[in-house]
Amino acid sequence: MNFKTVKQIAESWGERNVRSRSFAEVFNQKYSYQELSEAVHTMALFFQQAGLRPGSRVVLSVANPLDTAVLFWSMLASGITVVGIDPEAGKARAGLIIQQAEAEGFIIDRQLVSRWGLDDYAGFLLPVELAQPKKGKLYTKLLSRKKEAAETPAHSYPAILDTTAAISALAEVPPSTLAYILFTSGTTANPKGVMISHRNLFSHLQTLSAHYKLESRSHLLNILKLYHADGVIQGPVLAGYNTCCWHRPLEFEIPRIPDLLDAIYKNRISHAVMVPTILYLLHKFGEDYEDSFETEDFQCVISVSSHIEMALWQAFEQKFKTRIVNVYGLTETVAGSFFCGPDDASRQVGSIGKPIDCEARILTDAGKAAQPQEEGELQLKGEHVFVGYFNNAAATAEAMEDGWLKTGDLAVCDEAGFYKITGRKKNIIISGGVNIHPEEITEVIHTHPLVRESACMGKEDAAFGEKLVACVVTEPGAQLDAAQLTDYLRQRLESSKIPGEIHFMDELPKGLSGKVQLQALRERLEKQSQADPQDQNMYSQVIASAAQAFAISPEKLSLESNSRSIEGWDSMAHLNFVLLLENHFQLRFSTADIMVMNSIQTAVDIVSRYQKKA
Amino acid sequence: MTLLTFILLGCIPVVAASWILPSRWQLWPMPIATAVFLAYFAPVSLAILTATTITSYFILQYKKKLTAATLVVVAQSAAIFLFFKLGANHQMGMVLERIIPLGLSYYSFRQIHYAVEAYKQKLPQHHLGDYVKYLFFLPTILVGPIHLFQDFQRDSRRRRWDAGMFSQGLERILYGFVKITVLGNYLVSYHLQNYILSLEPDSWLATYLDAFRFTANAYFQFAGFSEIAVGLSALMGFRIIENFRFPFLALNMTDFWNRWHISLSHWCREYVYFPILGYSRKGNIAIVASMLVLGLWHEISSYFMVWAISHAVAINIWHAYKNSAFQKKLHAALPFHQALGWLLTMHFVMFSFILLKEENWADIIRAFQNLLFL
Repeated sequence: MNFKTVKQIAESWGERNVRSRSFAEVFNQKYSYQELSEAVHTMALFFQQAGLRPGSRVVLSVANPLDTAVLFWSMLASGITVVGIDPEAGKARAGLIIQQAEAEGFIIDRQLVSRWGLDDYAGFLLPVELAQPKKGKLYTKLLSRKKEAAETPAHSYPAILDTTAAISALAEVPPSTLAYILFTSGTTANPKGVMISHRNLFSHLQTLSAHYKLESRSHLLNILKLYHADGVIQGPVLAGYNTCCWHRPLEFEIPRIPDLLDAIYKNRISHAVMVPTILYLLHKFGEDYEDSFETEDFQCVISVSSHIEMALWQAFEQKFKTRIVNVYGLTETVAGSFFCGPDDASRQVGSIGKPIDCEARILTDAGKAAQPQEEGELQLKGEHVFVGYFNNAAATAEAMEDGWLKTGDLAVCDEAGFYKITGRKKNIIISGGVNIHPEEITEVIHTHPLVRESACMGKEDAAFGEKLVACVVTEPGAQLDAAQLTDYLRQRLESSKIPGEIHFMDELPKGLSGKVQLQALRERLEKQSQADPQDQNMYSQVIASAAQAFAISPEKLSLESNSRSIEGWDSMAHLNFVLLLENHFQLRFSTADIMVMNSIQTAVDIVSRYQKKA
Repeated sequence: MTLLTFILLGCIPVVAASWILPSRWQLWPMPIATAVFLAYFAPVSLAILTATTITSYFILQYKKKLTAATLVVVAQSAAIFLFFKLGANHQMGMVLERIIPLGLSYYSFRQIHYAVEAYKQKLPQHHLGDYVKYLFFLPTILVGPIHLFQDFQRDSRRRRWDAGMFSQGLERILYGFVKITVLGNYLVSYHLQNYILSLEPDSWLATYLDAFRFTANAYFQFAGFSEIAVGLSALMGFRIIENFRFPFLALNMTDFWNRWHISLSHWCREYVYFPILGYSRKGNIAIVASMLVLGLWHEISSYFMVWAISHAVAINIWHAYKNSAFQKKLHAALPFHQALGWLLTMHFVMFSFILLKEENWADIIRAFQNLLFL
């Protein structure tokens, strides 16, 4: 496959028609391609002078997203292998990765130096200073740059950009050079380092660019974590490859959903990379913002990292009148492999679409190629498939067979060539796009002195795809509650790996061998929390009342239907709707409730609230 | 120079500043220009707007009980509005301004909207500055529309330079001017008026055409000003609510009020109709109350009261007729029922405007006698 090399890309940023464009707009801060080009060339000389050579493994762990993006590209352009560690990672996990990666240097936030015990480290260490609050130009003019520079140590980033010269021309980086190593889960033992070469990375960037139809005018929105492949690769790296702009207007939190949706119009976003959890929250809290994706520039939402529920997929597309591209891939395949959409040829809602620029096969347990609709393990082969696990030949051999990557996912393929994931062979939970090995969490819970035993597993969840659930048995007489255990775990695990539910039990169901029977445990929990069938009846009745009041077929109504989308929802029909609901459910709404009842969803919520009160 | 010309001239530097200044300052020249404009033309209005902006914001911000705070803000705005509408300022010897303070009708209704939306907990996160920018928005001060805080706040966040939108804004201003000057002033108020004057006074045709003239002129003037407001807002990257959407294509009275002075009818539906409906469960009464508020918002007089009630009755009749067996029969019998509906609606609107056009009840009665050959 023809793809651009890192040297070609980095040199293109200095071209006249590119350099004035924005490479990134992060929290209202713009960063041009000229600035990126200068930074990359300067850092190249700096790395050279520091004795680093192509293939040197250097840890990158920086909280500031823009600094992370610039440094990631700088390391790629110099052939330095990025060993990415999330700055939120606990000391134990960071230490384990550093040890396993045999790191030859560090580019990390200043505060991590002490936290990770690197104060006396004699090798290459470039601390990254916290970004200074941005001042206006007037302020900058009034206060000399010298004074500002004096406030930050010279041997730190970004100060070195001012004190180091730039290299005249970047060297070619051989395609077999490792671009980065990302470590999979593992806090107390055995994280596996996924090695991605320049060939893997840049061939896949070419695939992504062509399939998403990215061009220099595109605007890519990606607010995902940069220490996951979907955040950094489908964000600043993909933008840089296409000389387009990467936008990260905010850190995601629910109260800022309106700002995120408004950023799509404001920034002329053409592609939005999101995880199903964010799509779920946008759908749930995006009322009155339904037109957010209906702009002249917007092309598609790209759903990555985890399985998207069919119901969410359809409801989101219906509500926001846009198209979701469902991407299936692994850290081991850079980012994607299968794409469902945006083109009609690869789109079948509910599936993962078709393999693009790679080969796929499904093998049954007997090791034979599966027939259409027959389940088996999905395997992949292509230029983007990783080199192997770093210093872990056994794990590599287990995952690869004759150049085929065993994904560990069970899938079926239909007669038209569309693939669908049906289950998982390996024990892993994907919650909000984050891969979690339940054993890892169980191990950490076991370190609590009051815990006798525990088991963790995944549970289906509308928002997160899967939710991590921990079942815990405490020592006899021990006083331990969920909040205390969560506090304990918070100090030892990343926030995304904290169990969403903690259940305390007298004992865990076990088989003859003494192993915890997860299926029995799951059934026990399901029994406890079986959905109330009354809720379904209530929803049906609200729909029936709406259909009657607004003289519309019930099939045309859904939770998203509202006073703007239903033609017959005028003032008098509103009264009819209210009276029908009051009669049926034998309740009387308050004036405030009648005033806010402008959608089926709000009607359901209000009736549900009254029923709970009763 | 008219007030409109002042507003337009004042908006030129403000619009330029809204794109040139650093982003955090871009929207501040507008409230400053509004304050300067009001200070010059209507200082009392500036004082009222400033005071009520601050009190309404802080009452709702630091409330102990949301319902009480909402009621206080609504009562404050309604009391000031009624004080001036009822002419109490004249009776008390306050002759600082001869008419109701400029823009009061609009900004007091905007403040009530803000308070009720706070009560419904539908307001987005915002600060006093956002509220000031919303209320001190010069394009909509003079003749509305009563644009919504949520929409304004959203546009403040997402506005961006868009050459197409800017050009559309200029077009809308031009259309507005054409409506006011060419269609309203020149064709209707000058040529048609002269023609009517040439007819025999009190003849059927003269009375009919005069009712048409008044209705058409009211539309061209009001819709023209609204169009300029929409256009000026678009120049700054704001999409404010459209106030008119081809009202003379309406097929029934509900349809008419979804097309005529949309922002006010929306306001009345949200803040009069629904609360009264919630309290009484009687849609007919809620419609009468809404139309009364809508009518008396223009002017507190017996003419507007009768006009409002007549429209409320017409809307209620339409609701009773809609989906009835009688309607089905009529539709089956009359192939041109839509055209008939349009004709009836237009004539009802036109004849109801006679209530607002004439100087006194004697003239109103005479006009109806002429029209009905009595």
